[in-house]
Amino acid sequence: MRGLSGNLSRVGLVRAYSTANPTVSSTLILSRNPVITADVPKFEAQYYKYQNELWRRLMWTFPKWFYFREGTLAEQRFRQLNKDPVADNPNIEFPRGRPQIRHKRDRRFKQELKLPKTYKEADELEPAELEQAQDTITEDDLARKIVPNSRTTKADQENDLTSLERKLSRTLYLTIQNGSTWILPNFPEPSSEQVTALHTLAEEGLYKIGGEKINYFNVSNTPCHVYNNSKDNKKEYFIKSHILSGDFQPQDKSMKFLWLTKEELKTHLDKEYYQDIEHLLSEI
Amino acid sequence: MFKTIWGSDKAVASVAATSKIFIRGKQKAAMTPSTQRIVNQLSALSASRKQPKLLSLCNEDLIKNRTITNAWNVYKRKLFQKRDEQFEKQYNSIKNAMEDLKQTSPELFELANAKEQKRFPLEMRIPTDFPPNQPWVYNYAPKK
Amino acid sequence: MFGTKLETTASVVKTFTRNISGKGHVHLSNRRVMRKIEMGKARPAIFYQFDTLVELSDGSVIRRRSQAPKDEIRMITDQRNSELWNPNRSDLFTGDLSTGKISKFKQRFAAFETEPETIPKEEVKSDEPRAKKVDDLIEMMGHNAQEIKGGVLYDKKKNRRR
Repeated sequence: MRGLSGNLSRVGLVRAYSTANPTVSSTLILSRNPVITADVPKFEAQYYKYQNELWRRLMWTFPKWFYFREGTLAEQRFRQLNKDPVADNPNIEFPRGRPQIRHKRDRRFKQELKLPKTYKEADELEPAELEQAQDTITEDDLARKIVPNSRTTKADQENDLTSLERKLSRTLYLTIQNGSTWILPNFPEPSSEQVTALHTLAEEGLYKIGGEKINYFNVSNTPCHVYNNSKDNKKEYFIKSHILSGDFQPQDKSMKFLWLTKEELKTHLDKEYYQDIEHLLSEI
Repeated sequence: MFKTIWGSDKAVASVAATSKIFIRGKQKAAMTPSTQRIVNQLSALSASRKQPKLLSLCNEDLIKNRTITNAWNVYKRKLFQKRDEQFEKQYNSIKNAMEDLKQTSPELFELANAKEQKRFPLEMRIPTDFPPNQPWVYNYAPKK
Repeated sequence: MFGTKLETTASVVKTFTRNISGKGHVHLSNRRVMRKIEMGKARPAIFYQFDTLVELSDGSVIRRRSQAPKDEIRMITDQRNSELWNPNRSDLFTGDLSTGKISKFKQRFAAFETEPETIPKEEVKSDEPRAKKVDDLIEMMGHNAQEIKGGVLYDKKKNRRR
């Protein structure tokens, strides 16, 4: 209660200094969620590797008889790739320790298995077969080897800041150029008689500047932050939303926009503005 | 058939009658396929003869493991602390914004405070390890 | 929030309550007091898992761990390909899926194909299409077949031999 009254008095003081009632406006934090998993920092990667090695060492033996029926071709292929370990013999001396084999696995070490490949590699085919394969191979042969796409796209290499395909592992935020400074898109209340809700202001404003082709999802009607813009005498209420698909196409040809990550926003936005905002933006 | 050293044929016959029938190889119990399936499943689930040797670390290894675990805990603690601070700031932000809104415009406050029936959008995708052939879908054609 | 990897230590996530009978209580022996597990001597169930690459229908690849002995799995139809999960996309639907059994059959016996009855949505609710099916049945049965209307549905369980 005391805090509230203190706040009121502070607001009263601001009101005394400002020229008129500040205009209410809504600022849109439009974010594009990451498309791929976050990049793992070096220390975490090392720790996960360590833990994985321990886990592999303590893993149970693979129950081959359950997954591969004896006598089938699959089982034969599996057997060819995974030869039995050297069995224990009381008459032989083992300088590296006596093996303890259970279900074809040495209990002292981790079990390393090779699985039969479902695809044919280029070096395994004979030259004649290779030529034939190259003629008849279709792009979507279901048995081809999985070649994952690169995690950095063309937009990353060109450093195209307006592209939505840049920095797939990070969150991107829409920024608009306002005169000489970059800001998050802001939409003031059109008239003081009829009030439109903040989230509808943000959504409709976005469609006006960026076209209808945006798959927009509003997280909540409740604003997540308030910024008192003393320069332009307006109160900015921040609305959080996501873009799920589609593209931001500026309706006004002169409008400049960028999709920036949190660090890039730090360099592009006003220092004081960014410090006010930074906790609302995602680290990933 | 059994030509033993000690006995006459009668003794051999009696021995043969009471002794076990030796089969070359393992004695596999006669089971229906369904029972065999269940036995297979149980054997795959159980730990018998599948557990590797208990990992025994020497003193140096133990110290190394403890250091690594400690370092990880410190790292995680810092990370979570930062995250918690951010959450607290976010909460305070929302609270301040709503209180401010209440003072400036009660109408807008009501609209912002209204209860929403909202669910996660269908098209929100979980990040994968590698991007798809089309990293971003530009096609948006709402059916309305 | 996004992209947290497997970071549990060698111990497994499953827990069980000791000496307390609950929903997940597994009764393995008649011993009331279970043996105490010394620190460092716990032997949880760690099934053998492979690192598998799963490629979805749109080309994205996931690395996951599974017990099945597969190195690489390729999905033909999944969330990224389905109409239901992508309601706002116009370029998705490829009706030309000739890999299924039904479509293969239809291809082979296209000569025998009759025109499919296109029943608009409003009509499905009425009794007309259902009555049409019944008429076909009677035609097959013979000339003097009479449709029996009414009666009680045969209850198998009630009439079974005890």
